[in-house]
Amino acid sequence: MTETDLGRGRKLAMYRRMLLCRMFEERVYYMFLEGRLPGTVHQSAGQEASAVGVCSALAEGDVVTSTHRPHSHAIARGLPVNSLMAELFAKTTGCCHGKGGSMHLGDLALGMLPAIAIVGGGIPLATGQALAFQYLRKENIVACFFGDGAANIGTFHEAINMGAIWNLPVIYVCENNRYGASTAVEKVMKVKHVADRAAAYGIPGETIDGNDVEGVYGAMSRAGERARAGAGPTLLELETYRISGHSRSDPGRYRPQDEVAAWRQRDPIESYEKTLIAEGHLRSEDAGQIKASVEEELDEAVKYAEGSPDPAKEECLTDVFA
Amino acid sequence: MMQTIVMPDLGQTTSEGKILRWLKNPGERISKGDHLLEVETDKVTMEVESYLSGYLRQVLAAEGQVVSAMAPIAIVTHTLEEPWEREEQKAGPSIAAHEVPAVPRAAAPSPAGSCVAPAAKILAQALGIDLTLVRGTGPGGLITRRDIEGFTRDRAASKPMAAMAALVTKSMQTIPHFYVSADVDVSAAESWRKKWNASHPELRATLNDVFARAASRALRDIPRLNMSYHDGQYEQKAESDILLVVAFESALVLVPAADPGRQPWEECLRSLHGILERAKLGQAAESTFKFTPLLAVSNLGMFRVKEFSAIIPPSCTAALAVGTARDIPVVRDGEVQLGRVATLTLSADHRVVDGITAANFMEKIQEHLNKL
Repeated sequence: MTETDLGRGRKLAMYRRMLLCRMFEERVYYMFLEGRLPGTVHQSAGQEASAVGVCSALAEGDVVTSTHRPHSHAIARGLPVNSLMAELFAKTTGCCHGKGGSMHLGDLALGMLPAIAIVGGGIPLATGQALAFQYLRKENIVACFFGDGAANIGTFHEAINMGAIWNLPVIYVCENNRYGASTAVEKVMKVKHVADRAAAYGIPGETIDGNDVEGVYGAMSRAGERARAGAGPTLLELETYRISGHSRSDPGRYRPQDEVAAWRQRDPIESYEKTLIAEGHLRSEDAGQIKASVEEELDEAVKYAEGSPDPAKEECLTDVFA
Repeated sequence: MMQTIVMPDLGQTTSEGKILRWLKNPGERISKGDHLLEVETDKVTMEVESYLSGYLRQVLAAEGQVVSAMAPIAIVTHTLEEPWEREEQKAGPSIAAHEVPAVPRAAAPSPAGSCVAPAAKILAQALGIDLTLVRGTGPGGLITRRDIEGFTRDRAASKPMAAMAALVTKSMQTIPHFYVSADVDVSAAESWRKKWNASHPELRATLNDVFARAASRALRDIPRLNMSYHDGQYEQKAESDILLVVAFESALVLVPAADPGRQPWEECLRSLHGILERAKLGQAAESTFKFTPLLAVSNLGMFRVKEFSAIIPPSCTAALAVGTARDIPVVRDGEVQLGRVATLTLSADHRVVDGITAANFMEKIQEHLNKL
């Protein structure tokens, strides 16, 4: 664990936020199996520390761009769970009025661009948003989430290079979960770390443990400070792992069982829980209470979503640009 | 309380799934998150978790069954004691009344059962290969399509089979085949054969012999068919040699017979039987290969095959496929009588032969069958 300025309140808030991410997705997954939820689901179980660590270091007005796996990013950014659940249920009360679904969660008013499901598609948009901040002389920054798969897409190079030459206030956050869908990262990338590529653009690059929420928070805070000061982007590589398959229809058999087991041992939520207990910030019974309150919040969200109206026929063409 | 579990919508392009295996048996306790069954979709095989806790009481869809998404596939109750009923059958059957026999875990397809690439699985199924016999060389012992191909190659690596594979492939790729069929009357040939066999018990004539001779003679009458084509060059052949296609132990052997139509019957038969006997022993005499017949004759009559079409061997111009001789009603002089026919199909190289030539050839065969 890295030393940070975090007090007990913020630590517990991060812990609860990670639980909310995990339990939200579990809830969604089972409802999907039951057939209560339409569409597809890309789970991010195991990657909560990177989402929560990064978003906890953001200020009001900052913007997050996300991917096809946006649930945890949206929850970490503080979007109301009710509106996220309603979006998954394709209801009018959803954050995109039910027209985006699982892969397009977001609400620009709350600091999250609706997620971009195209791999690597969010990197130029994040760079553009950062250019807007610079042009408008705002002190805000952009946290641009993408995966290891996107690091080999052309937009990665073009957009990061552009962000670098103009010293744009954007943090390129690569959540390296070791697999682009089913392809192991070493099969498609010759350098050992995505962050090694930062040197090619003349910006700082850092590879850190993405399952250590406070470590992620610390690194993101430092990079954010730099960006707000006008010193330009940082490429942060968060080494993490998705415990589940790529999508709801992926059994993930391409991964060795012992590898999955080893990463399960490094579950970001369980290990943070242990740390908090060891630091005296949390007792086991408190943890149980927090989980119960998260369950309650989710019960409420499901009720809210199921009780919300479906979009009207006349609304088909509103909010749609192409 | 009775609850049903439905088939999840796991497909990428379809809304159904095939149940491969139930991982829990009726009567077993299940918890939310337990792996309940294995489902095969259009893309993957997945273990599906239960979203309910309780006791599995009945499975409503058997292994191997394809089930639409959202269709009920199992019934779960909170306790093992409580009664429950299916909508379809109002009587409450006991736990033992489940429809699918419990599958012992050991009956899983193979140790590598879960590690077979879909393409490999499809190929193995098509070829009827037992996957437990195949060693996987893919990542983590995955059986790949290449493994199945290697397995087949090893199994079928006997030389005659490989030779046949090369031969027919070359032929179908290079020779523009066309086909004509005709029913020929074999009643005259059959009565000749009966008479001959009665007087020559030591040198019996088969229908195969009869067709080889008739084909050779018809070839003499239609020289256009006895012409070869190579690289734009046509060459007329004088001798009416025949290539007999013979099956020995699942491999096809091509046996050249030198002009069986020219010699008298006795010599013809001795010669035909001799070369077939030698071919059977795998000792086709070297000298017999000094000539190249342009007409192949393939006979499946002994297998009750009514008709078929043959692939022309690469060195030939045509192939005659002989079906079984069979009784049919024929009309002669306004009366229905018993007739005996065989269906012949000529495959011919259209670079050399045209339809009329092929038709004339069939006519000639009939003539020669009538006057043996």
